[in-house]
Amino acid sequence: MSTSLPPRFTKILENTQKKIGLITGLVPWVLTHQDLSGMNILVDPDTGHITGVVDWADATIEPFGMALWGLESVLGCSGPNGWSYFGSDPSYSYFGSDPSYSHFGCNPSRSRALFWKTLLTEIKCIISDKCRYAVNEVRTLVVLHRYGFHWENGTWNPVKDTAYLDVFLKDEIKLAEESHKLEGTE
Amino acid sequence: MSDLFETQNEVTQDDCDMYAQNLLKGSVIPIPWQGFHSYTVQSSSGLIIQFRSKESPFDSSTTKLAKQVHGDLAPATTYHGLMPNSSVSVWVMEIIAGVGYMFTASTITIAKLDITVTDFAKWVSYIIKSICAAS
Repeated sequence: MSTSLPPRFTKILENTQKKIGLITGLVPWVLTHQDLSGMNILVDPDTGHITGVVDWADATIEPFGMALWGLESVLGCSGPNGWSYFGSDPSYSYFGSDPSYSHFGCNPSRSRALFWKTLLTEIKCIISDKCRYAVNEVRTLVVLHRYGFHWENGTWNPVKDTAYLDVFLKDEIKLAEESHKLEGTE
Repeated sequence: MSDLFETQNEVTQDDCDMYAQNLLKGSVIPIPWQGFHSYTVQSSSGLIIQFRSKESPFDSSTTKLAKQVHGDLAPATTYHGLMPNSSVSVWVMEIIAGVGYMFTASTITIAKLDITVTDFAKWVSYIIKSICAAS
């Protein structure tokens, strides 16, 4: 995978690989849904409330956070022009001037912030920074795992189109670039 | 349509429909979206019957655990054995109201998205709380 993905992912892959043992030991292991996609998350179409989650057939015990890629499927959806997020903040311009995305005027950052704010308000037990960091690392790992490969001719191959990875690992790519710049100036 | 009937030749769609009708004593219709390795029908009596290939086996303890952890969010699921002379297993589930999130894309609004995201966060926090309570 590291040889086939563009260089902007190299650092992220290295980090994830290096820390995998550590982070999976830091977070609790829980029953994890294998396909927490927009198809299996049921909602009331009139209110938006989640009514259920189906297809638990392949659920297994995995490090907490492995199903967090499902959050991405709630924040946006895959349409005829590829992946796009819902929302209406025109200041969010990750897709730049790509006309196929601009009319969505998406703002996943706001929704993701709402997710974490609600989560942290809800949980009464305190999560250590270390644990929260580990959960985020697990998320990176699972995004690489889910969106870094595609099924072709009977085998899993690394993707050539990194559109999903670019969107879902936007913050991680930025961080990696910043640390690279820092190293360069030292 | 389901790929179950392309990946094995032990049972046909008619076999499954008939089996489901007999089991539930009523008419059934296939649900509009079908997953891999399975064929799913819905009965007028409010139950789901799923036929699964041995490629994607179900485990009673997994579905029981999902129900136990997630309560009303996960469907109660019971195993009804194998189809006669085949390796295709039969599962009966309760219907959960609502539609797949991706099918609501055309009617989504920011207000509804916020509610969905908040529910998602509450659901995850519920899982975390149960972990904290257990440890």
